[in-house]
Amino acid sequence: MSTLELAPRLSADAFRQELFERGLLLPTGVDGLYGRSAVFEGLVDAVDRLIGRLSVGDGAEIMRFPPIMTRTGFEASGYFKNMPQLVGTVHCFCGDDREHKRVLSCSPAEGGWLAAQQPSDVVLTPASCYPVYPIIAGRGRLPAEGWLVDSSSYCFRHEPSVDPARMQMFRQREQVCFGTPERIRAFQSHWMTRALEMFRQMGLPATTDLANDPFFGRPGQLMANGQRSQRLKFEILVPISDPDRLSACGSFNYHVHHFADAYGIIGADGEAAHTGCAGFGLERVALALLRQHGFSPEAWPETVRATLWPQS
Amino acid sequence: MLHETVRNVLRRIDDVASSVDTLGNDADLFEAGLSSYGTVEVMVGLESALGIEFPEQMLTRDTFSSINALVRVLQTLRPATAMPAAGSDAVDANGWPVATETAR
Repeated sequence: MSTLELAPRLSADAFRQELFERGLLLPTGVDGLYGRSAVFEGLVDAVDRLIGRLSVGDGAEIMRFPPIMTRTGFEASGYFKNMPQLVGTVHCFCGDDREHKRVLSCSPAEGGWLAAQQPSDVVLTPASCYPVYPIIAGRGRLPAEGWLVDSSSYCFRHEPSVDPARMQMFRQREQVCFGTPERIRAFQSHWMTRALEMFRQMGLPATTDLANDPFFGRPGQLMANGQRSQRLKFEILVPISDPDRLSACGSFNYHVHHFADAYGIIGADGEAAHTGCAGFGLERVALALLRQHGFSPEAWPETVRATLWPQS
Repeated sequence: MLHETVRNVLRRIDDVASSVDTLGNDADLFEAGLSSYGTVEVMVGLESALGIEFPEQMLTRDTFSSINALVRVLQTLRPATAMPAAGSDAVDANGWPVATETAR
């Protein structure tokens, strides 16, 4: 942990209220779903650009996605097996005039206007790396040196909360690496070191720690224990809403050959490739900055401003 | 035997189905291809076959690392708490319910 002085205590609810009152986030009436002000968007954009500047020399292929992905790609990932509680599906009306009239007259007990909604061929994207895997798999064998993708997308996770750091829709900037186990472990380690330096430059008291995904139910506990014992997931943590419970602003993951098996991603040697990703929750980093340095970015320390806005 | 019950469950797991019969009791199941989700399927399969529930503290990678490791853990669970699998009241020499496939 850094020796930086922590911001004064503020509950998650009080922090969110302050963000609302200052107009940084705009309430919608649904926990975890907020509008963003120009100042907040400026912060998200600055963090996004900072990540871009740090990684520009990596030679990653840029991929940007809308916040939905194919249902077939989602199903292949196994996400619903592991984290069904977080999933958001997209359902659409596919009926005719008669069916339309019928559902408009349905009572709430009969399902109301939702009575005829059918699952579509897209789902909400749970992580920005997910749409990347089927694309890479579709290209055939990886080059000998592997491949690197710089992805970004709005992501959805159904976990409504008063904690402003736990949004239902948020942006991820995620680097995705394909190759040998050695390459993925080096990528994971490199991004952890790079992230700690990035957060230090932003004046954020960050630390990294072993972590696990929020797997569902009793089987989930087994999955989480397995993930930890193999040291597959690390997070970069910063105090945001609760000084006693740090919030993850980024994670560094080694998937072994899970996604290669799921999507048929083949390495140069003809074997299942190994994959890893290093991602940041952009809104969370923005919130961490607001929490640590105050609600007025123009009053932040010059070193922090120079890191985020090097031209200003 | 518990070993055979464990093998019967493993034969239904895609990750290791083709190699179970050539694996020794101490062979590393993860090296043999057992994935994280396959581990969950082993857990569910054994709980269903034996009518038991693995205690939280035993839901670790070590528990599922080999056939012998699984048998050692299963032996620590009290057979008296085990319920026979549906449709089968066969038991092995230790008083454990035997997986349906073995009972047939």
